[in-house]
Amino acid sequence: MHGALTGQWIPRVIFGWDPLWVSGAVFVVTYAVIISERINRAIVALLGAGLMIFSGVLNQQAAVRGVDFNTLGLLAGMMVIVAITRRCGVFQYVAIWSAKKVRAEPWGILLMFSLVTAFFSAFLDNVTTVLLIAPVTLLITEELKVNPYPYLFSEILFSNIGGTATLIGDPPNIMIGSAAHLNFMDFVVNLAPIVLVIMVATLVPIYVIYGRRLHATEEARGRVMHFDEREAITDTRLLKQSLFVLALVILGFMLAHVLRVEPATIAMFGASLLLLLDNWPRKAEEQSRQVHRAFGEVEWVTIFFFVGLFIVVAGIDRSGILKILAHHVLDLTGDSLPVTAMAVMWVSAIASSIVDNIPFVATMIPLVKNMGPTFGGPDALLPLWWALALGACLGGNGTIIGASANLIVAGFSERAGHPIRFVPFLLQAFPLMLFSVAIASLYLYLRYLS
Amino acid sequence: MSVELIMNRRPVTLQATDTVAGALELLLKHRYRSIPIVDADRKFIGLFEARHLLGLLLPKAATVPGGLTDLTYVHDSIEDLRLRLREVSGLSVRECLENHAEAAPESSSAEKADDDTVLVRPGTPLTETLLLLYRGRCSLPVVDAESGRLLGVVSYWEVFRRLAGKD
Repeated sequence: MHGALTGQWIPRVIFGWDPLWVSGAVFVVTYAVIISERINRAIVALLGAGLMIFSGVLNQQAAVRGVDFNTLGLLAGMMVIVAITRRCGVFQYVAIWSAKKVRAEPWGILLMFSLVTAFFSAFLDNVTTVLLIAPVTLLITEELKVNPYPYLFSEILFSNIGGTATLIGDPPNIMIGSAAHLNFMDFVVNLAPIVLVIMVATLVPIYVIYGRRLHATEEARGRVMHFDEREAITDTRLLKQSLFVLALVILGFMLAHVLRVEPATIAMFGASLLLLLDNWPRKAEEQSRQVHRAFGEVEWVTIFFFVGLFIVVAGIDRSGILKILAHHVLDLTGDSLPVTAMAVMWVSAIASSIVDNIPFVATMIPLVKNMGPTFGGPDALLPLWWALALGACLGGNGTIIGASANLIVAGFSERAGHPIRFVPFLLQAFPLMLFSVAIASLYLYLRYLS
Repeated sequence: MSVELIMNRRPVTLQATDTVAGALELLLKHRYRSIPIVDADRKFIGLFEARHLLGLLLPKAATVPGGLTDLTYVHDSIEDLRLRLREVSGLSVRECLENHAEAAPESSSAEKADDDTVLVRPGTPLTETLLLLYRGRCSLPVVDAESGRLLGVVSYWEVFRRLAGKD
C-alpha cells in the first residue's frame, strides 16, 4: 500500500539535489532524533514529514497517499472501544476471578495473570492491557506479601508474546496486515499456534527462576480469597454493551474477507456503535462530555507519530532508496527465500529490542514489498511477512525499552517502589527473547520454507 | 491585606524525626487535618496531612498515579488495618512524606515544598490565599522565602474568625 500509493508524483527537489540523498538524509536524521528520545517522537516524525514535502521529495498529495489510514482507523477505533469498556471494571473482574480460581496460590496467580495478559494483549493493545493488569497485580502481591517483580516481569513478556498472535494485537501486525492484505484469520491461523508454543516454553524458565520460590501464608491467601470480584463490576449495563460490541467487532474481523471490509471500518463502526449504546439515554450536554472523554483517551501522540512516519517512509520509498536497499539485502542473502526470511526475523528481533518496533516495521514493509519481483510476486512474500511480524513483536521483549508496554510497567512499578532496572531485566529477558525467536525460526522453516 | 496579618503565628508543629504514631496522636488531639513539619532551625520541611496517614493504610496499588480507581472488591477488616497501622507507626513523618512524594501527582498552583504541599509567603495577598483554600487546602504554611523558616499557618478558621470580627 505504501509504495504503490505514492502515485505519479515525480520528485522535484530544491536546488536540483538528488532526491535519493535528500530523502535519505531526512530519514536518517528523523530516525536518529526519534531514537535519541530527546524530543517527543510525534513532533520529530511530523517535522520529518514536513521536510520531505518542503524539500520536494513528495508533494502533499503523494504524502497523504503514503499514510495508511487503515492502520490509523483500526488503532483509533480500538482505543475508543477500550476506553469505554475499561470503565465497567471487567478487567479487574477477570484478574481477581483468575486469582481465586487458583486459590490465591502465588505461582498459580503468576501463571494465570501471564495467561490473562497474553489473552487480552491478543485482542487489545499491549499498553492498555498492562495498564489494566499491573495495578491489580500490585494489589494482590501486596496482600500476599510477595515480591511483585516476577509477576510484572512475566506480564511484560506475555503482553508482547500475546500481542503477536493476532492482527490487532500489536501495531506492527496492524501495519503488516494492512500493507500485505492479510486478514484477522490469516494471523490467527499462521501466528497463534506458534505463540501458544512460545508461551509454554517461556513459562518453564520463569517457573524455574521464580515460580518455585514464591510462597504466601494461609492468612495472606485468605485475604485475597475474600476479594469479591462481582463488586469490581461498576456498571452492569455498560459491561453487557461493551462485551456485545467487542464480540461483534472480533466476529467482524474474522469475517472481514467475506464482508469485503477493511479492519479500520470494523473498528470504527464498533467504536461508534458502543458510543451510541453508552450515550443513548443521556442528555445532549452529558453526551458531549462522555464523547469528549472517550475521544480524549485516544492516544493522539501515537496516531500523529504514525502519520509522520508513514510520510517519511513514503519519501524514501518514492525516491527509490528502499528498492536499492532491497537489492542489496537480496545480494547478501543470495536471492534465497529461507535465508532472507531468517535474516528479516533476526534483524527485526534485535532491532525491535533496542528501538521502537513501529518505525522499524514502517520501513521494513516497503522494503519487503520491493523484494516481491525477485521471489515471484506478492504471494511468495508470505513467509517474509510472518518473519517480520514474529521478529518485530517478540523482539520487544529483549530490553525494558523494547516496547511501550515494557516502559509503562517499569514506570508504574517504580512509582510503587519496585523499580525494574535496565541490566537485571536485560540479563533475564534478552535470553528468553532469543529463545522465543529461535522457536519461531524453527516453526517458520518447517512450515513455510522447507 | 496579606496573609501575614491573619496567620496563626504559633502553630503546632512536628519534628522530622517524630513518628507517625506521634503525629496521629496530635492529629486526634487537636482535630487537625494537617501539621507542618520543621527542623531544629524551624525550617519548613513539609506538611503532614491526615490523608498521608490514610495513604499508608491503603494498598499502594490504589494510591500511585495510574493505579486502581476503586477498591470495592477488597474487604480488609479493621484488624487488618490496625495491623497495617502498627507496621507503619514507627516510620518518621519525613519518611512518610518522602513515600508520599514519590507517588504524588503533580500539583500546579502556587509555590511548592519538596512534595505536593502548597505554601504561601508572608506577603501573599488575602484573596489569593482564599483561592488556594477554596481549591481544597485546609491550611497553608506561611514560609519565609529567604530563610525557608515557618512563620505561621493560615487555615479557613483564621479567615472566618477575622471576617466575623472575633480576633
